[in-house]
Amino acid sequence: MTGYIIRRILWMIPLLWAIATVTFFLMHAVPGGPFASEKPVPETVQRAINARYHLDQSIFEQYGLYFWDLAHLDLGLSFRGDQDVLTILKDGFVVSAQLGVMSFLVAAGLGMGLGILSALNRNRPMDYAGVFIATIGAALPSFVLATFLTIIFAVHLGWFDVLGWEFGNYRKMVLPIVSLSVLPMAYIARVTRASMLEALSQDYVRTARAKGLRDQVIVVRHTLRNALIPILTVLGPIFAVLITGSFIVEHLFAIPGIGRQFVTSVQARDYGVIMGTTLFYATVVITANLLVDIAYAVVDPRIRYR
Amino acid sequence: MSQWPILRRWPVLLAGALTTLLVLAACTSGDGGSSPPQSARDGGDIVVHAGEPQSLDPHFSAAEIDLTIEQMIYRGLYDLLPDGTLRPAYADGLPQISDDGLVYTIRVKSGMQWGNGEVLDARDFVFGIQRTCNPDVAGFFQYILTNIGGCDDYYFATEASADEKADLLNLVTVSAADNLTLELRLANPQPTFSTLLALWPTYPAPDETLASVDAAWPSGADTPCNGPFCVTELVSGDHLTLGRNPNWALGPAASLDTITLRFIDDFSVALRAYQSGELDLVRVGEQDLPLVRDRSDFHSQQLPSTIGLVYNLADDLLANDSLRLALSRAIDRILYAEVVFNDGVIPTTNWIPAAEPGANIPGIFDGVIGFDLAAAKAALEEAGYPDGDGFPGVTLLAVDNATTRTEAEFLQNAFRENLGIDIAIDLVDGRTFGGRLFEGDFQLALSGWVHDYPDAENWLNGLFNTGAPINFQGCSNAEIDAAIDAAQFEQDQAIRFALLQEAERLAVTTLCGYAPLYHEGNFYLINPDLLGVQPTLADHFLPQFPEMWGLAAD
Repeated sequence: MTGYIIRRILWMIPLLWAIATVTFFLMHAVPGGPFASEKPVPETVQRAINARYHLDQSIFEQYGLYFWDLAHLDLGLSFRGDQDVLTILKDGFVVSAQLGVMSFLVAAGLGMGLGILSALNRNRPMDYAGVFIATIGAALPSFVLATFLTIIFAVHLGWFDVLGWEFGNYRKMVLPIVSLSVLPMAYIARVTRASMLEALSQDYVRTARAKGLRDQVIVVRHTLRNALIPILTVLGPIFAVLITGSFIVEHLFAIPGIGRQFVTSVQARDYGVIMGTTLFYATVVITANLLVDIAYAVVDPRIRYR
Repeated sequence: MSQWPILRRWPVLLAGALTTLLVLAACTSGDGGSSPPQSARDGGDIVVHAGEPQSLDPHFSAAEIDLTIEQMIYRGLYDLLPDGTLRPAYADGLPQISDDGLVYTIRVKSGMQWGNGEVLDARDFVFGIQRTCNPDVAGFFQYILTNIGGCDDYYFATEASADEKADLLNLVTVSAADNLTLELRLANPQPTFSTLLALWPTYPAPDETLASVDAAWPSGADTPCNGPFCVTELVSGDHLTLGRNPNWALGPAASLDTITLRFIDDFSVALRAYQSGELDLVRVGEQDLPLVRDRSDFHSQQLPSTIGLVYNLADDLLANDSLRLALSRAIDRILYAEVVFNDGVIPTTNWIPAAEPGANIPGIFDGVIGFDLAAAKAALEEAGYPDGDGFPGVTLLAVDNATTRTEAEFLQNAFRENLGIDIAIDLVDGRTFGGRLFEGDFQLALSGWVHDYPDAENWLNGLFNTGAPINFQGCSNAEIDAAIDAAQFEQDQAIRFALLQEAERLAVTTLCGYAPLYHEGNFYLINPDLLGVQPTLADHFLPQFPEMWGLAAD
């Protein structure tokens, strides 16, 4: 197992290099540069600005320069205020992670709860209610939900704030968390329900019932544990996506998270931040997948890695 | 063309504008300072809508939000008032200009300090101008100072060695005769040069804080300041907080304790935050105008900007004068403003807005390039495409956002219905748009101009003269060139304006790259408790002069 984990971690290096290389060349292939504003500037000015930021060098020289710095763990500077990209990532990630973890807990808790209740009450009102909620949650885009929630609960009722994020301040936490967690909650609920129904129809459950075990014991000890594998498969990526930020929710609540930074940097052709956030996202997703694979082995003793 | 609802209230607005000027004039007696309204209380904190600045280095930056914040934390030699006149700020009086118009001598007020206590004198203004001309600072607006001797040579020496740059720096003709006397020598007499002394490229730089002329401009709470406010905190992606400058001496201290600028990308989000009481001042997007325009806290202000249909004259199809005329005359600009902008813009056929010194009379070109269906069809027939037959198609390049998409679709529909021709729409993001426009990779585009300073010259020189740096539409007309060249160094204001008006007439009537469509507006919601906020023509993202703002006494 340890050897497997080490190999997986070592594989991250060429994988991240490949991702960074593709991103670097794609990013420079897109028309327009970081200072190609809509208000035109004289060509001479453009040349001077390009020289200031080494954008006048060939693409391969820039590539070499970037990877030389990267090898020294220097992610460079943002074109926006010459800020350190690492600091931008760190500050953004702290906010996105707080929002993401809270949303994940809500989504996973409610989603799994709803899925289990639906499965245990199959074809009964509770099941219909659960499926209805999950379907609505899956069908409702977060920008619509966030807008409605804001208008009702912030503008009209004044219970919560429209802007920003402050951990521990419920006025700034509730609406973003609800907006971000509804979609994954619905997805988790559907997967949990399906997985639970599958597990509940297995022979070992029938055997457990025949042995006279209580339903609570059957569900917690036997069914749920076996139903967890497909649920874990989706929880990993959902966790990775949530903690790395949702551009839409961060945009609609003006939250300074990493998702908003990423999209803003793409729009602004802020090459340093684009590269930094891409590498960061890639690292998080690869790590999350590794953790999920490890979790498989923990949950299912039949799975062994060599 | 005065179909804009705000223009229907034109007399009221005019009276309001005059009142504003009188208020400003009243507030600016004496040494050029200004003060908050008397009914405002001392102190208080406000939160306003803003975007995140790219740079607060006044000698480099160009973004609208950068300039907005810079107007709050810096002041130059002069303030530029809405009517285009100069009010001394750090200058002690108007510049003395030599008889040949080449040498400007400006006295700087004594006893002035930067926010950190450093002495602010003529040497800081020399340093600031040298920074704008510096090739490593690479300022966007260096071209404004192109007439200062040696500035261009220094700026273009990007490849030069350090010693060569030092030599070139010494040839830039800006100097301090003594601590309080700034002297500038121009290569040619320039009637608009005094106005440029109010703009950010001539703002001072703290020569004791910065180690060298090309040193990085300090950021965050270390950002230098000599305006009424200083940066006290910058949180990337979230907000910037300004606090009173303790060394502000150009007038009474600002009334507000702090101004927090919240970075909000989406105007609708900002509007909801204003409605929930989280913001005191917010910019309103055109899409939200129907929701707010009847409110008492709604304020509007015309902007010095013109958006038009851009023709790439290097394209064989669009080099056809009659085709350009047909397209221009097929656009019902009044309907366009109503449908696309909820009447939030002023339909126009003028390139230069009427409020700019040296502009032509509004509507003077309506009969030449304005909406006229019969004339449009006749022009299309003359172009060789009667009723659109045989028209090969053309593509309109535009920025991909909700408003511009609607604009493009409006034009597409107008050309189809009025001329029987189809155009394709190519929507791209802002940076791609800028890049393609700059490279001439387009046929038609939606773009325009916002002035850098209020003068007709700024709307023509560089945009319409042959081979000019921003003439990406490829306009080349010897008469326009002659008029612009003659106006550039003409000392008689009346003659200069007549030449510029002629240049505009030629540029518009020949559709030399632009068919003007509308002038933009700025729209705000301002908390009624926030007093002293006066939107002006010279605003960028927010109104200027925050030292005049104050919260109403309880």
